[in-house]
Amino acid sequence: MKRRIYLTLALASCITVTTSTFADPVSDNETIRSYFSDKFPDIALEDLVDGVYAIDKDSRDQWLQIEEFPPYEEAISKGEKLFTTPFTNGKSYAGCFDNGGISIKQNYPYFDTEKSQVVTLEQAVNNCRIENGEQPLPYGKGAIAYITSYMASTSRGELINVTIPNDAAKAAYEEGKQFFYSRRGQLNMACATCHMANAGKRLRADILSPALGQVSHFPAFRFKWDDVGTIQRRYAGCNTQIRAKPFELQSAQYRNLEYFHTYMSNGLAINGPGTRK
Amino acid sequence: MVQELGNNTMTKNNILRLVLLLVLSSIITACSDKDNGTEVVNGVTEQEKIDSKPTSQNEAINKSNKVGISDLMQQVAQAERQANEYGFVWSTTDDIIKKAYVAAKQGNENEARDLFQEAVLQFNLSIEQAKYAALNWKLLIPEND
Repeated sequence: MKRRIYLTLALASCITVTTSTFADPVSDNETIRSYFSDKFPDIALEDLVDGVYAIDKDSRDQWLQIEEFPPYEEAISKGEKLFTTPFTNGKSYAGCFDNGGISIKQNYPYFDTEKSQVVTLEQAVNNCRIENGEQPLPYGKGAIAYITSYMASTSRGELINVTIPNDAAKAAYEEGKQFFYSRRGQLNMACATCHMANAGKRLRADILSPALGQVSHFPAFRFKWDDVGTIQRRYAGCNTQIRAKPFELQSAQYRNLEYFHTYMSNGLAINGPGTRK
Repeated sequence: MVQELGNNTMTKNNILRLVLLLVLSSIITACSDKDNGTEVVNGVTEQEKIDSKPTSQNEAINKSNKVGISDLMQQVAQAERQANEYGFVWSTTDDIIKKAYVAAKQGNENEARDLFQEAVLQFNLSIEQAKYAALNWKLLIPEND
């Protein structure tokens, strides 16, 4: 009898250790939301899609003035033109996506169960081009960022809805999570160092944005870029800033990171493209 | 009494050992010394030896130094391969390697040597960082109250 009790206790403690060490994505999200609720008690979590402009009043006032004549509008127009222009074979992007590519951004990135890998919206755009005999576009900026800016604009207000359909997807999510929390580069900093632990604090003249809600407004027009760019372009920039060698855009590392990063913001509204410093 | 004798013998042995150690260390110090990476043997530095030798011998020594640089280049390449496998390479290392190659091309061997060694060090540090991260990345995850 005693042996049975010991065995049960041992099993129970093993299960407790396992669940706390390998938390599932849903409880990860609960933890992150609870963390930011505690960190910014006066800000509703859904407002974090505005990033630092939800946190700092002065920055918000300036941003609202900028939004009166948004600098990303040209990118949306160019993107719409590119999106609707037929390929050489007469087909168009609309034929490659659900709902003709309108109002679908909130479902990206998704996990392709056949190819067993994360597919981002930029990658899906290029896959569409290849399937239709066109050359793929360079990632990060330019035409691909214009097209996805337009697509994002058609998804405004839709709630981010990234799913994890199977164990392979869970593994990709975990890899993205590990990347997010791993210190790297000569400055020995992780994504989480700035955007979790120090979110809302100043880094020189800038305020660090919270990780929650970051993906909602990408592609984003950054004054530093003087154009719109994709979230992975920003990842590469962040990595360079901490003196880590950036990965190739659309590499498995960045796609998995984007998967984790977007899943984190499930339930928040798409408001891209946005404007950022 | 026996214990006292034993203690005396041990003390004598210890003194003998100490003297031997001192003599050995003074011999070693006299024969060879290292100062800022320049080897001093019998009071003459390696560079002084090179300068005092005829030109043909200098060329031979320079050749052996060049082999040293090419060894370092191989070390860099090997360290880079290993570091790339871990995926934690620093963005600073590429520039150092480029500068090292320029210095080597211009004949600034000491500078090239330092830079190649710095590159190897950075690759190795990035590997250590990756190993640390693999074990400790969860430390940054916030805890749910």
